[in-house]
Amino acid sequence: MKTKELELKDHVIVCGYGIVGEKIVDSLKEYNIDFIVIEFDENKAEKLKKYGYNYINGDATKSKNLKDANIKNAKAIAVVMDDEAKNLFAILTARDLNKNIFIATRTNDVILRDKFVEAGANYVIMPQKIASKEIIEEILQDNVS
Amino acid sequence: MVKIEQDHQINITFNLVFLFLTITIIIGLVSFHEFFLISHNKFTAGYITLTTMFDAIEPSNVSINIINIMNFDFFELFSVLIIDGLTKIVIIGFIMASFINLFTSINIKSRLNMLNIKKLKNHIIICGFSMLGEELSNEFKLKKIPFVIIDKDPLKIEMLNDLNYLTVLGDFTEDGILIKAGVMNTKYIVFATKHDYYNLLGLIAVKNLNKNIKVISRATDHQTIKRLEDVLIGKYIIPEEAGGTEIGKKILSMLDKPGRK
Repeated sequence: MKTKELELKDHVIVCGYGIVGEKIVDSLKEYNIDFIVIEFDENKAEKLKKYGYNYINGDATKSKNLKDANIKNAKAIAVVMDDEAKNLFAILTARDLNKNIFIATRTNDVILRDKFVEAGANYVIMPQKIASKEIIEEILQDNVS
Repeated sequence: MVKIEQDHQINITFNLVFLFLTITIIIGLVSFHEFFLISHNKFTAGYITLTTMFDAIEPSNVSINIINIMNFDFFELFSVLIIDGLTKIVIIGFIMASFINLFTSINIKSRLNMLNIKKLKNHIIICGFSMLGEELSNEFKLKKIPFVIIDKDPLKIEMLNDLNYLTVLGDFTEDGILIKAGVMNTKYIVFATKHDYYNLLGLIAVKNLNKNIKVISRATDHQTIKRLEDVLIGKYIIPEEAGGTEIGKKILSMLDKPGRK
C-alpha cells in the first residue's frame, strides 16, 4: 500500500510535489507540523517514500484521495499542482469535504485568482508577482545603499 | 521576423520603382515614335516627348506648344492627350505611392522610441515580456523607474508601444539588440523568460558587453542557478520557489507558528 495508514489530525495536506509543494513541505518539516502529500506522479511518489513522508500516490481532484488524507480533520490544504484546472477542481472538492479548512493555492493568472477565490480558496498567491517584488526590492535596496 | 518585414518593404519599393520606370520608358518610346512619325525630326520628337513626360504642372502647355509647332489632326491630338494624361496619372500615382511608402517605412513612433531609449541612463532592461516581465513592468511603471523591454514577438511590442512603453523588438541574445536597448548605459538587466538556456545565452552576451552590469535572472531550479552563477554572479530567482515559501509562511502563521523569513 502506497498510502501510509495514519490517523492524522490538524495536519496540512499538500497537493502536488513540484517546486512549490517542495518548498511548502520544507517549511512544515522545519516546524514539525504533520503533513501528507498527494502526488500523481509515480516517480515523485517514490521520492516521497524515500524521504519517509506521508503520501498518497493519486489524483488530488478525487474525493477518495482527499478523504484518505483525512481532510475532515485537516487544518489546511495547499493545492499547488502544475495544472490550473486540476487545482480549481481540487479546491472545489476540498471545500465540499471540509467547510472550515484553510485552502491555499497558486496561479499565474489574475482572472483565475478570482475564480479560485470563488471556488473556495482562502489564500491565492501569484509566484511571478512575488518574484517581481523580490527583484524590485533588490534593485531599490541596492540603489539606497 | 523583423528581417522578413524589412525584406518585404524593400521588395514593395523595388517593385513600385521598377513598374514606374517600365511604364515611363514604354510611354516615352511610344510617344517618341508617334511624334517622330508626325514631325519626321528626331529632335522635335524628343523635345515634345520630354515636354509631355515632365509637364505635370501646367496641363495646357504641351497642347499649346504642339499647336504652335505643327498642324495636327484630331487623332494626333487625341493620342498626345492620352499620352500626356497617362504620364501625369503615372507620375502622380508614383508620387503618392512614394509618400505612402515613405510614411510606412519611417514608422515615426518607433524612431521616437529609439531616441528616447538613447537618452536613458541607469535604466533597467527587461529581457522577455513574460508574466514576470509584465509584473516587473507594472511595478517599475508604478514606481517611475525607467525601463526598456526587449521581446522578439512583434505583436507584444506593438501592444507595449501602444501603452507608451520603451521597447526593442528582437532577440536579447544578440549584441546589437542589447546595445539598442542601452546595455552600455544601464546598471541592471533582468532576464525574465521561463527558458533557462535562453536566459543563459543572454547572460553571456551581456557579460561581454558590460562588465559592471548587475544581472537578475529567473531560473527553474537550483542546478540552473549554479550554471548561471558560473557565468556571472547575480541574483537568481525561482518564482515557484518564492511562491512555495510564501504559502508555507501563510500556513505557518495560520497554525500560530512564527514562520520563517
